Amino acid sequence: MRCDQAQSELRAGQAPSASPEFDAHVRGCASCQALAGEQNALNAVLALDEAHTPGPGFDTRFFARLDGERSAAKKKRALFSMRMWLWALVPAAAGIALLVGRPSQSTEAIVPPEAHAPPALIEAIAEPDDLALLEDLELIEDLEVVQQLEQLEDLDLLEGIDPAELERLAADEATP
Amino acid sequence: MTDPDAELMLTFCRGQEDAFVELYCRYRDRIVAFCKRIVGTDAQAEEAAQDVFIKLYRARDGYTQRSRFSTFIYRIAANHCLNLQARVEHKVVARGVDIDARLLPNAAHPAPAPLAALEQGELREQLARALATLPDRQRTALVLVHYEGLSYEEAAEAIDVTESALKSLIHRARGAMMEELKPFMQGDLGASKGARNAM
Repeated sequence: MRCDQAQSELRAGQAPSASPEFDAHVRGCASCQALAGEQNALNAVLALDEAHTPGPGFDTRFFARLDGERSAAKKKRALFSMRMWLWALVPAAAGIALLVGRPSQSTEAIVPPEAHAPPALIEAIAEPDDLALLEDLELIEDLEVVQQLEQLEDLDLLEGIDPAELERLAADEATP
Repeated sequence: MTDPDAELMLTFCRGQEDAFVELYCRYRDRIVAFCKRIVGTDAQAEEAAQDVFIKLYRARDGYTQRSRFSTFIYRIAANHCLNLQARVEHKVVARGVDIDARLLPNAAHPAPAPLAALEQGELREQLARALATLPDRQRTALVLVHYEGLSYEEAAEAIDVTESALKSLIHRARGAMMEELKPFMQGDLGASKGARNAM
């Protein structure tokens, strides 16, 4: 060990007894031995500083503070668990909302068949356009009657029949 | 190597409050003495020591055994006291008060006491005054190693510096103390010269 190393250790408060090499160097070096003496004197003065002991009532004051800390910690834990419950309830509430919302949408989507629909629904479906269609169907039936008459004319089956008689037959046909 | 204090802390972390009370009993005097040497007045030191134990109580949720328990609690104490000191110095600077005047009440009128008449009580006062003049980190490093008996490694961990930086802090602190106390150490130096072979 060199002097600078040994003196650096001594000035940092290290005792030569910390290692055999250090101790051997200090014992054999006059300048390091002098420095060790100074440091030893400083240690002796530092040792005069008495340890401060807590004053009366220190424990009582501390445990009163600790009780406050415990109750604060309990409140904090309770608040934390309440928050956790709230956070847990958010997805649950969302799930419930979804479940509640879904049936109402499905009733709107499903329309019962016409056969089982209540009268009000039929009325709603039967628009004026639909009624006009029904009238058209009656006209088509009339046209078919005319066509049949024309076919009869084509076959000359109506020849020899009095037109007045034909009109009377048509009137009879039209009478329910 | 098992550390019984760390075991106690782990027991406390598992919910047994008796373990905390046991740790309090073991460390109360040491933490109060440490705080006294760092923050100065008795009332402030006791308040600071209580704060340290409250912080220890709160630390149970996040405690993991990475080092000796003593290192852990002194780390809390050192951080707390250094923060307190920083706040005090900040306030004093903000109010325009001279820090040196606060730390060294007799700096303006140093007592030229004759060496022979200096008794131990006076030497203690000089010692307290010399300790107070040290910068906070130097004082904390010195107190941890010299008074609290932490190793260099443990003290370095407690104040979050490297071991060589800690040695440097102690080196400077001891040098400053030597300068302050040399006039009062003549007798001790003389006595120590005879006793130096005992080191």
